[in-house]
Amino acid sequence: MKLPIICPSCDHTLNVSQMKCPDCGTNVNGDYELPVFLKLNREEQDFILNFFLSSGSIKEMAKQAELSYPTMRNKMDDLIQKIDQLKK
Amino acid sequence: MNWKTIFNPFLKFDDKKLLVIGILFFIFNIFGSYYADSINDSIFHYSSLEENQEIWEVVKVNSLSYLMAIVIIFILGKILNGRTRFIDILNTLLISQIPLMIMIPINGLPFYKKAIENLSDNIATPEKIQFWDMTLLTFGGFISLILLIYSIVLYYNGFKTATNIKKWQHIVLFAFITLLITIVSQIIF
Repeated sequence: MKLPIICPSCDHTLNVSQMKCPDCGTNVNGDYELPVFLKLNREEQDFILNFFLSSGSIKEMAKQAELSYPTMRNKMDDLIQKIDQLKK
Repeated sequence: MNWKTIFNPFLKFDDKKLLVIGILFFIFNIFGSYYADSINDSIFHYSSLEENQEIWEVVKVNSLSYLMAIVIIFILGKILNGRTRFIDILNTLLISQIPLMIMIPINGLPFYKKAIENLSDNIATPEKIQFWDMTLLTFGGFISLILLIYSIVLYYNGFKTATNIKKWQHIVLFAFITLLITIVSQIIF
């Protein structure tokens, strides 16, 4: 199931208001901000995961995705820029 | 290969493959230019080769005009994005000129040259211009225009991929520098 991260009404990033223990059913209520990683869309999260799994090699990622090195590096630069903005 | 790849091969193809293709076409262009009595005195431009000039003149002018463009565009790329790589700029310049390199030897074909001569001779007396010559040159001009546009598209997409520029000010600066390079290169060479 896909985790919703954007408010369908106003497009703002959603916060977590409730968590539940799947074992005993205990509920925890609060107002928790999502970590930066979870504020990214699925494609961006996969990109970071692939980067990690390729031992941080953009060249290797480009090879796997059958894209050129500068294309992959540009994707990386755009993602860095987005994360910088999310962290502000 | 889809349309996106045709208009921007820099997105997909490996830089080494592009470099090999670019160098092969650069060599082909030297012979093509010489065959068509032309020299590539700047990117996107060919001039007539003066009489009795040897192929070494074509080698010199073609190489220097490309070298000048590559160095200046690389410096611009570095200013706009510090991560710009030399090989990506080199590939942009070499690959983007291929459509024009294909067209230039056609201008050297005897029947095409004859049509240009006939048209030049009868420019003052349009009624003497042959229908076949006019059709051939109009068709040739149309194809050249399409290839020039394709060449510019490749050039822009190559630079955009190499530098990841997005701001319109950077695009305008790139266009202005390119125009400047072509003018200065034609004056020098």
